[in-house]
Amino acid sequence: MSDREEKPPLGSWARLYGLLVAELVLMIALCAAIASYRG
Amino acid sequence: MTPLDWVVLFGTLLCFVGYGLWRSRGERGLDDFLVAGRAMPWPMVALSVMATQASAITFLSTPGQGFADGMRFLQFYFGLPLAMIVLCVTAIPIYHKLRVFTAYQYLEERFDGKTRSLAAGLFLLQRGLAVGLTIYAPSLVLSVVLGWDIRVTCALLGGLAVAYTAFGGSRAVSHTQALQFTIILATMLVAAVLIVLSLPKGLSFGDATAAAAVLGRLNALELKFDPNDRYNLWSGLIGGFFLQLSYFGTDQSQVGRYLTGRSVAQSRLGLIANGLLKIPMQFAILGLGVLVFVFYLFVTPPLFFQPEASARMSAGAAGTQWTALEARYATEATDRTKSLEGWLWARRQRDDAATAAARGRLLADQHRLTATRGEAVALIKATDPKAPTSDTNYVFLSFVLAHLPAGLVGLVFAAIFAASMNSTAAELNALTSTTVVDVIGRLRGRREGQAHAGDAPARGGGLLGPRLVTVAWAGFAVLFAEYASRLGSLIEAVNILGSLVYGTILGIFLTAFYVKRVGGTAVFVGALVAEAAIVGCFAFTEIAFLWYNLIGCALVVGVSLALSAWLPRARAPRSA
Repeated sequence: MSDREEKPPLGSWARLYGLLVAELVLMIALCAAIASYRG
Repeated sequence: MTPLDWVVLFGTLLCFVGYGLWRSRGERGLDDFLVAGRAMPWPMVALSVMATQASAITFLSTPGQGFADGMRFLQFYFGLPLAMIVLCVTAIPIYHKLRVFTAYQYLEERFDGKTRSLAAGLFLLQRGLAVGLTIYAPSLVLSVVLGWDIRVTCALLGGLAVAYTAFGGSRAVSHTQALQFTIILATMLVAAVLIVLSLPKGLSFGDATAAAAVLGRLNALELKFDPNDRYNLWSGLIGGFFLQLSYFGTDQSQVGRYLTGRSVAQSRLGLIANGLLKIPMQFAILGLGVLVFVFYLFVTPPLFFQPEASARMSAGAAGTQWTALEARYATEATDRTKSLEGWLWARRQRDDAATAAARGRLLADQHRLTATRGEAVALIKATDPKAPTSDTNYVFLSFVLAHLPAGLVGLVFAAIFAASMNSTAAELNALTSTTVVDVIGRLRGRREGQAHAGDAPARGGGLLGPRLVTVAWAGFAVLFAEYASRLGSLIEAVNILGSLVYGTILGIFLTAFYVKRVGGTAVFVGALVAEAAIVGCFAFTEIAFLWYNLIGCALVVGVSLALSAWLPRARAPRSA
């Protein structure tokens, strides 16, 4: 199958890259929340 | 280890090798041997890429770091998802379009032969030595914990990996990695569940998290910018981005893995899956270490987790002092447990004053324990200045041996062996590709008068040569590993060698991708200048190594751009 025929999940590569960035932002936010927790 | 553990360990290892050899059948040619026939679907690419990066020392050292230093190491990976995007957009389409076997072939297409040779040479030097350490580091830990001669563990780790890598090449490596990495992750998950079940009854997840937080183990983010601090948000995002870009974009051990993708889309999806899974995976492994730390808040931990050094100290001239330190440490650990229980009780009563007072006592107890451990390390050093003073790599295995059930102990050891085989196999295959394509193929092509020598090896049908090259690299790696302990400071030098060359290699590739008006000679001189500057930074400054990647890369691009104004271009880029 050629690359042109292969549709990426979510419909476009830009959306997949956006998903990567969104996950990174969420992970950093999670780390910030964890690091600010003092028990 | 019980007999059941030995059966599980050797049974699992034999299965891995057998599976690799079975997957080697029907090997058809160099395309199959070096890039698995470019036929892999994205889940295989993702597992292979992740397995290559996660060596045995990742699974030994990361939980130990979580135990001793908390979650801060996680920030090291923050640049990885961003690097995956850049590689998906730029490198993968170019490598696929040119149908290269190695990343360095592209440099001859884009620049010239000397730039390709420089990058391939730096890779062979750095990775050729580092593969020895990929075998040596876990061999050292396993030999100490299992009581084996280190030469046996080195030969076993190297021998297992080369058995299927030499026969089956890249295809066997990818299939075996997928199986091994799945088993490793499953084993780690089971270990994590058992650690949680080992915690005292009545201790909630909230209590465990609060205890880890108050004792400084949830330090997952540091916002303060400090170029000398190894792990903070900025070094992870910026320095880490350039490091991961270099590792995944220009290191053949990784490029060789995603070149196995059956199309641009499949290779891209493999890298995107890696970008999505890597940080959560490291989070979980560091979390495993934090759980072990919480476990040892209720059970007295060893004074020093490296069992050989501890036994030597007990039986040596300073034995009385050591025993006294151990007794004091045990008393202080019991005091800490009582203070922790008092703090947890006050916290549940929502009594702020009592909670604050109990917290002060807990922190004071922790401080005393840390000081006693510091005395123990100083005593080890005073007794034998050459003795190891870090026990981070032994924390997890020490816990596994002492507290996990029979059978699972063998499986954890098999997982550590598998992790070592994973990375060693991929590195051996990458060294073989670069030697066969960028050294032998290029020389053969030049002799035959070819303009672009990279295609030469693809025409050769036989696999005997590449197999012999794999065996030769494995032999060198095992020999280097076996003699590594006698090489002393050279081990450290090899460890930092990657940081010293990655920035330069990345600079060459980024110039190739994005700065079209720079020619071969300009980038070659730029790379030499950048490498000299990085060595200067290492020798004369305190700058943390993650920043070397950015500095080296920026210097290559900057110097080559400046030079390109007056140096003639040897050749216009043919493609990409």
